[in-house]
Amino acid sequence: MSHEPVLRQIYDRVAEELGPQLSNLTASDRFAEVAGVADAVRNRAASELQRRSRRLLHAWNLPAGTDIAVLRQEIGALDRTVRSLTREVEALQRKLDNAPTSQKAPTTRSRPRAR
Amino acid sequence: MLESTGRRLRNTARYLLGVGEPELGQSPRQLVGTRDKVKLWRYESDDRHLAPPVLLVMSLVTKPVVFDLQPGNSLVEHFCNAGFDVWMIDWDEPGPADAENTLETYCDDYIPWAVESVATESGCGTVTLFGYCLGGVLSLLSVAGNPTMPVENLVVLATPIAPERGPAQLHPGRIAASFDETGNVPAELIRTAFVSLDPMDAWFTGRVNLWQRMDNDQFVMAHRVVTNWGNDHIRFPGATARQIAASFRDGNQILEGTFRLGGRRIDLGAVAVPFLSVVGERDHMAPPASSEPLLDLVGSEDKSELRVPAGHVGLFVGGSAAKHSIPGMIEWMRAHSGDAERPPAKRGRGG
Repeated sequence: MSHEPVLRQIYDRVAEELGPQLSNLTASDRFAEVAGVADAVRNRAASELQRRSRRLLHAWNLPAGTDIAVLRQEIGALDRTVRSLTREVEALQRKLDNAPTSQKAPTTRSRPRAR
Repeated sequence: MLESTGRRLRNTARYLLGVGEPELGQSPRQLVGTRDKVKLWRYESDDRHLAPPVLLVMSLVTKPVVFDLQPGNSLVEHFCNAGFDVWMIDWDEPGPADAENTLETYCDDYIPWAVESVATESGCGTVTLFGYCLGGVLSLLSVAGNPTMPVENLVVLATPIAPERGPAQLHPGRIAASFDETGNVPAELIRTAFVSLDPMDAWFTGRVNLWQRMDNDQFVMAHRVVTNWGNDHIRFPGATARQIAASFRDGNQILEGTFRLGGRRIDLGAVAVPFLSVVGERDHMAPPASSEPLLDLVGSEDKSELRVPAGHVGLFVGGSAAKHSIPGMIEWMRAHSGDAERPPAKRGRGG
């Protein structure tokens, strides 16, 4: 016999019935497709709103949110380039470390400048 | 009765007003290294008598603070108290620069970098890799794809290698329409995807449980801690999302052994190190059926599964975890570890 309050027992019965049905609904491909369309509509509405606010802000010579987003993307692209260059330098360094001593690049030593 | 009503009223008010938000991740730690945005942390401890060190690998969709929620309710604390040297990879929130990160970025670059760093910095030479949820999948792919990586043991928790609902949650149509201005999948979409796995629980049952036990200070605090973390999702790297969605397009490539990482075909049979899979019997995000094939797939001779009556987070968070699952994990790791001062002779490169 359950010691749960009556209201809780009623809730548990309802949840037991409804829970799996809700889960099956939200896990279906059909639901994902519908949600995808809803996301697309929402994104479209947001970009339209952004377009209008951008025109308004640009008319006052002010930067809009999309300008900042473009800047962030450009910084991101730059960051990716730096990462890729870093990996190349690391690979070269590894190659150099593993190379036989005779093949290693000569280390440059600065000579004191004649005065 | 009056006292209980008073507590209920006070906790309700605090909950609704957001007063007294618990502070998370209080265990002292040191930043040991960074690679791009990825951070490698080492937790401070006076007693690191067990080796190899344990490297925690979090999923890409939530913050790793769940490993160290609060004093007394922290996996990190349990591992440190047991004598392990505990490290953690923090992926950080992906930005525009991370939108092109693929599974190769994580499995062939970041994880091997972290493993090498821990193996070297700790002086042990090898690590126990410990992955949670998608972090478990990343760890598996990384170990299978990089056999010379110095991993001595592999532990995966709630790792959905055969998710029945994968295609619906990461439906290509939904993902394609959902990238944000940074080129990543927005955190909000990740949150709704998780909610949709069990909407009844997420929308109603959690709140009903909270209301029923609102006079229990400890329960209310624990509920707030887990809920705050659970709602604090982070963006998911765009290219990785596309790659995972593609891997599910015609079946399950990882399961079928046709998944390719950096051009190499990945066979989980290449995982040869001692292996433990921890499965929560009440886990609705990574149900037992989604983790079950692991034992057959990995090639390790020493492999086992630890089943515990817990949910996705309850595997290592909360009082029940402290009594059952965490001691089980510690026991297995201890049996597969040695003295930090005198490492066992078998210690070497796994794979």
